[in-house]
Amino acid sequence: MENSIIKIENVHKEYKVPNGKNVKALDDVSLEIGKNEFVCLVGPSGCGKTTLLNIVAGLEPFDSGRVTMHDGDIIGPGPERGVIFQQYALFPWMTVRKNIEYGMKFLRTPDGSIRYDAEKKREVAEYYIKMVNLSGFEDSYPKALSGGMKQRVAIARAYAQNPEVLLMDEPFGALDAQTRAQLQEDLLKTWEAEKKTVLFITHDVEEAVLLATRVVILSARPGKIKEIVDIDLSYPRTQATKMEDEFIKYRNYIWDTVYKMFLEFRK
Amino acid sequence: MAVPMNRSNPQPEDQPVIKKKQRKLKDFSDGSRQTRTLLNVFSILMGFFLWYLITRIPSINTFLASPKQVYDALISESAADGRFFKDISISLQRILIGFGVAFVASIPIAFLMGWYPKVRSIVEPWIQFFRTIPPIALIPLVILAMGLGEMPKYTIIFIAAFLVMVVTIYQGIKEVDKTLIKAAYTMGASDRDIFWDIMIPASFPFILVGARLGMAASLTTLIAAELTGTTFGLGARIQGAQQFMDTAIVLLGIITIGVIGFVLDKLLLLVEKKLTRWK
Repeated sequence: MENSIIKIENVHKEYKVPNGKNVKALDDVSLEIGKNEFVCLVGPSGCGKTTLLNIVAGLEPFDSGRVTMHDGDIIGPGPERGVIFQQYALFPWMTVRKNIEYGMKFLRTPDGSIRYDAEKKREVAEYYIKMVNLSGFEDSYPKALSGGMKQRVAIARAYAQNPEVLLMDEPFGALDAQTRAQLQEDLLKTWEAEKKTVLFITHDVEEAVLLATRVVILSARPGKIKEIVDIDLSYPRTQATKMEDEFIKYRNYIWDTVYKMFLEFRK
Repeated sequence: MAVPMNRSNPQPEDQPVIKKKQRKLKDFSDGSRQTRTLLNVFSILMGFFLWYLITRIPSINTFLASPKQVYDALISESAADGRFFKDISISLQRILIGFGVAFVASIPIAFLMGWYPKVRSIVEPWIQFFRTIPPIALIPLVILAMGLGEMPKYTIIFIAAFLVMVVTIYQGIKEVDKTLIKAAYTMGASDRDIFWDIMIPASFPFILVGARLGMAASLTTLIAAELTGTTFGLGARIQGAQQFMDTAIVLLGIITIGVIGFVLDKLLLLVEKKLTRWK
């Protein structure tokens, strides 16, 4: 693939289970993610979606294969790969502003000096607070925010580090339907305004089709890539896109594939 | 999964519906602030009144002084030639030194245990073992080793407070949300950053809880420690008064200890509120 940023090649990963058979989490998974692609990983629970994302994030080792970014091996986490977690992972003792500013202290210029001084950090934080519509909450602590607002802080925090790649692990999974719809639209808008390469995990097929340029379907135990579906729907996409025939076709096809695997797996 | 069709409903179909008054469910809230304060004050006043009433019975008054007698004892003890304030200050000094050293020592030990599994494996059996021994049981040994000065008191309080605090703070460090640590790693934090920026603030609430438990342990242990081998201090005063059957002084000592404990706890609670407003 041209322009590919992330390359996952023949990755295997087993989990050791005390006095039991080892569980194969990922079995020979290969995937390339191109620049500014929005890739959604779907699959039944236990298919190793999160494992794959953690490996790309550099949070988990794997047994064999290769994972590279710009042809350099991923050997640990780094600010060029921002991660957004389902449980927000905001630092509760920091205000919204401090949360967003925090990650910037790790950014370095090519000559190794600190990239942003306090003033610049504040300015960048301010910009992203506006982007996620949280003006007025700069000095609130996370406990005072709703789930949707917390996740918006997390998104702003990831964007503030200006990562090339965003890794999102079921970020909207814990939110109610309306908040989720709104955040999906916000994310689409943000992504179109400021393109990033995104790897997004969800078990919600509709969400995957709405957001992704490509949907990767993983099968469960062992986690294997079952199918990759290119989503040829034009941007900008909104909730109204879900009414379009093309959308529904994609959704039904992917849903059927996932559900069949699910039934298969339950046998 | 097979769903049986046309199954016969095992429940009788026409259960009688009896309309009654709307049921009042138990309210688990704390109630209004006003009611609470009122009941608190009422309860305390009633306590004093009951205390007064039973001490009217002469046979009880021989071992339980009345509120008035305790008040008189307070006045005479706080007079210039009384020893009330000296007892309080010497007891407080013992608590604050023993507790203070334990506090300062327990934090790094707890963090080392939380951070390095090897340190944990080395230290934990000892802590678990000594935790089951009441520090008071160590008094004879400590006195034999250190004599009758202030040092043995500090030591006993130190041991009591240290064990409680190390365990509490260490538990807290273990419970720091691992997602926060992951999040910081993905931003580019080093282990050092994780320690200073995440572990310490995240375990702050547990440090304060540990301090409160440690303070309570110090107080309990101090009084026990003072029951032997010292002339001054609230514990010693209670002990001495008992030999003269001076129950007013005994009660005054007990109440003073309670008040000191209450005030110290409230102080720590205040610090906790101030420092962990984000919770």
